[in-house]
Amino acid sequence: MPRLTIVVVTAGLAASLGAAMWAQMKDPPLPLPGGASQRVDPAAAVEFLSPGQVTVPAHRPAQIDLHFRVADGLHINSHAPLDKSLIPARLAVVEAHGLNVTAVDFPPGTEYALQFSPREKLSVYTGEFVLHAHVTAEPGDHALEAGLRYQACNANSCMPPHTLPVEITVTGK
Amino acid sequence: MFGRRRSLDVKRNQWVIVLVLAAVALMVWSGYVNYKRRKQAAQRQVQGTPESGNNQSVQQDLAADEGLPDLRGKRAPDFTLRTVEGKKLSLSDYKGKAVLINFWATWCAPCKIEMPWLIALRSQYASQGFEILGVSEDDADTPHAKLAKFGQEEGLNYPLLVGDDAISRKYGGVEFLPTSYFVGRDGKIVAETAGLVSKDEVEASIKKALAAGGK
Repeated sequence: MPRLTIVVVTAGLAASLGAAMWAQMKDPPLPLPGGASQRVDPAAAVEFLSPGQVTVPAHRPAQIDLHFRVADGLHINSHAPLDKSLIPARLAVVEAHGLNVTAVDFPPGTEYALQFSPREKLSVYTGEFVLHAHVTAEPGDHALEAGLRYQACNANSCMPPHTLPVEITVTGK
Repeated sequence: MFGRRRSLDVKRNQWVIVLVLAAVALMVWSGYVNYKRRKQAAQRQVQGTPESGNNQSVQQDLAADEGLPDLRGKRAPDFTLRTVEGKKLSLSDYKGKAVLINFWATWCAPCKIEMPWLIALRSQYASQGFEILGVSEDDADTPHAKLAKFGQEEGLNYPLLVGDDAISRKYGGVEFLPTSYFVGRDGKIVAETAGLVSKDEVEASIKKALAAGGK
């Protein structure tokens, strides 16, 4: 009887191993053209890195650096795309009592061309990029709520535009 | 009596050994085939330049990787949409024709790159019974006049339709643009692509659609 058990277990093991290997072989994860990331959700194309909390001098102009990162293999249009039909990166800030965002500076975009059209340049952000928000805060804690609207693409396809929420606690001292 | 039992034990032992060897052989074989496929895929990735037109399989895999469901061989889901000029149009209006359903958006740079190719291919194959239906994936609140103006500026010579969630769902969600489905004369999808592919590949798929289902 123990031998029968061994036979059954071995047969089951062989069958499940075979099935698992077959499934893996049938659908191998392939590298994508242009180094594109796989199955990227538009919401995951850009990540807000920092800061979560920042202290600024009260009643005086200050600058807050907002750090973002575009996922590997993707790019987003810069704040000034070279083609008017493309969607620029924008930061919409929610008005808050005691916190005034006077301006937001965007970095210049990097020139980028799709492989099928090397002469047509795009202005994009890739990797990490930083926005500079100019603020004036009253004493105390304030919630800076904003949304980064962007439209991401990989080397040969684009995803719908998305707005990434940004929340920072700004303390005026 | 003991001799018979011993003989049965030997047989069982042999079965155990055979099964274990079979499991090991299956694993080795699967591993080898898997390795071979990955190696070939990596080579295609290196060799698959746009000009060579030999990156079809990579693009098909891209379609799979980007979440595009495999609708090839299935009947193209029918739909009725309005053109940017307001006219109602259905896929079934093109019964017996080869149709390229091209999902695009005004904000999609790769879509703009392939538009001149589509214009040229439409001109080339229209007389053989080929049509392109451009389905806009712009936001629902995008003015139709803006879409029409975009089409005029790009010189599009095929109908531009205002897409909606229903058609996107029917065609698997259409999460990436451009996405194209090539429908044969028999109404079945013969090819599909997610993302920009070479003009050669588009043309090859059009020929396939024209050949499917006969004249």
